[in-house]
Amino acid sequence: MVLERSVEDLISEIQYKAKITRGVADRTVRDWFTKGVKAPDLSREGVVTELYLVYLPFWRFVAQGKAVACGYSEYTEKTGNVIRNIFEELIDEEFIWTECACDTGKCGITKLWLDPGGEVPYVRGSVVSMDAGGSAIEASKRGREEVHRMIKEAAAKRIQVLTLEKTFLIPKVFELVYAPVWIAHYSYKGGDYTAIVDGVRGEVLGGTAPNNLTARTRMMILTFTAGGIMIGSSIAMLIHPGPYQISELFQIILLLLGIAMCMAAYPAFKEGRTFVSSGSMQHILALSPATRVPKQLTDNEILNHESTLLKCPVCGEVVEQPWGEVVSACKKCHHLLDVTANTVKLVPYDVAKPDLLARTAMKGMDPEYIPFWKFEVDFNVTDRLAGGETKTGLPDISGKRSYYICAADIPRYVSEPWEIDLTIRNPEIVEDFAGREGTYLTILMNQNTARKLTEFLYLRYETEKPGILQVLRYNFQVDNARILYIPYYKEKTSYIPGI
Amino acid sequence: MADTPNGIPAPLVCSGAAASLIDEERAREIAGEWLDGEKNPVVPDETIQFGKAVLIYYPFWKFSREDGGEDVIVYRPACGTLLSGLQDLQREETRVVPVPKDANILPATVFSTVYLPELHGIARGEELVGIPLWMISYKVKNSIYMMVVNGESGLVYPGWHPVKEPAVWKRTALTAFIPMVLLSMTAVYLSPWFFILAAGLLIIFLYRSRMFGMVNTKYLEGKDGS
Ligand SMILES: [Zn+2]
Repeated sequence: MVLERSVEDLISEIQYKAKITRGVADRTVRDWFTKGVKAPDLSREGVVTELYLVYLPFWRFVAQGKAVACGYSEYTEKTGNVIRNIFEELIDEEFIWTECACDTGKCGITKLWLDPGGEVPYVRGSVVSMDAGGSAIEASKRGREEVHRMIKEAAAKRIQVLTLEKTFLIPKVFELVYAPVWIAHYSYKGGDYTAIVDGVRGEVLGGTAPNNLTARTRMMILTFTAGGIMIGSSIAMLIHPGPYQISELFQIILLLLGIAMCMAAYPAFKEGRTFVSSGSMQHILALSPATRVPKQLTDNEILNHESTLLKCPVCGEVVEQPWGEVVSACKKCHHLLDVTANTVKLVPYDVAKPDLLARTAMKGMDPEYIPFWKFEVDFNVTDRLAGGETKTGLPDISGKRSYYICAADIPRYVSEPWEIDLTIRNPEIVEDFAGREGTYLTILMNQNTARKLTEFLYLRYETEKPGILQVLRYNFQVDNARILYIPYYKEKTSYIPGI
Repeated sequence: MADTPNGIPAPLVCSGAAASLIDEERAREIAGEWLDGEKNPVVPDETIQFGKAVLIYYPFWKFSREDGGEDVIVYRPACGTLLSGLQDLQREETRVVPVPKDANILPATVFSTVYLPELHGIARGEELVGIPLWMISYKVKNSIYMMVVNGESGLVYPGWHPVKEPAVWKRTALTAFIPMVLLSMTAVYLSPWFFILAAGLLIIFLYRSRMFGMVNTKYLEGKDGS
């Protein structure tokens, strides 16, 4: 996904609606006072000095993660036999990464606790919010890396030794989400503390509280009396055995144990100052609401302002990067353009003509043209090893052939069988030069992502073969990317291909 | 929040600021006095190490209201903040001076309309005012804390700070430890019945911990603690 150009000014900002009122938040904090190992008189002595609603910003990166991981895990039986389990894992699920975009200091909120859904557009200034600090580009990079790591972890969960691992990522959304929280500052016996209440579901998310002094004093007394008894009696026994027939070793162990207990307990109970506390106050300036870092223009761009404008390479019309990852048509000359951060590339395309059979069967219906990326791919498998039965009726798709990746907004579980079918069949395409009227679906996946998916398509196909794949080494080359619009006839909820 | 012709809200700019009457040295003094003072929340035998002090102007909405024949002025923060003490800022001085040129002023990000539902009386005016706040960081043991001192009035907004505890841990530990060592030694030499005595003493300790000076009653019952 090409976020780089547009992130700073065009990043979508949404917010959750606060559903918790001041009264409910106040009650939640008071309930929280009575729970856990907090000072027992906190609900009586604690005074809420301030209670206010504020929205915290979070970066959110949603991506479809895809991975193929092969390998094995071994364990040794009692008899000495080594049992090897071989695995072949296929991951295809949605991953969500979030990160707090402001410093919450001692409150220690680092991740968004809410799931996507129910958000409304964020209007600047209409609510009290902390400003998002830092660079969106950096955040999106961190998100991408983190999601890659999450995919890897999910794929290799059961596998000790990996023999093959490939991860792919299709970015879906990168956005700034504002989540409401009630901040309650309260004082207790000269100390100042803070509690944070989720403004959507009304749970306490974190904060600081004085903890139970009586409980800690008692724990201290308990451990020190126990320690005292252990140390006292063991010393006495070591000097004068008396009527107790206990081995000296045990007495020494008892002595050491007593000393260790006291030494461990003293700092532990003395330091237990607060109930919940995390985060740091180290960056004093970060505590002030930060301002967003705007996109940095290079010196050259500033000198030559014209160069920041992107133009159609065919007709010179100024083009704008539309939000999201899209290939769009030039408004003037209708050529397809792949607008990325700094460049505009012309994308060659063809429109396939529905074949005779489809035209007669679907008479009177207009097809929808669904865009596919078509690549000329050369896969060379150098090494393949699979456990179990490997004889297969499935055709081989390595070697030179065309690969198809659906670029439209169609659920992947629908489009993936089409891709495999088209890649296996490599149908003869009859070009439609007439420039047929009809519905052309938008291209929502750019060339880079599609190119990476060709490798996944191959790997996925290989894992679908019977047997458990263990080793697969290959080199491959992808050339000649173009868009091919393939006609599909829509019938109720299913699509019937026109070729 | 006047709209420009394009419908894009004009940036919110402070029309003035409260005068910064307290310089860095004085701000540090105030912070030190507060930490050392009678109400002092810091464990006294820990040394406090002061770090950076930064003067930041926070934007506030100043609402002038007429409520029941009286003129009332209410201040509300015009940017998001997690600092304590700023939600209902009190200001005795009403004068406003131009914002100093090199002032470190935070952008206002909240429209005044956000606060209107909670205000009483008849609106008589509203303006954005920058309030100078000294952010002073200090270190106790290995933790870093921050205190805010109002640059105009010298008021302290303590925020999260170390808390002195009304417990005397050393005494607690020794009161529990020494009698137990002696009792159990006697028990081994003389009679195991002394262990029962030790158990009894433990129960007394647990229920009457204050009696043995384990909890600093002077702190618990107020400053003079007679
Ligand atoms: Zn053009």
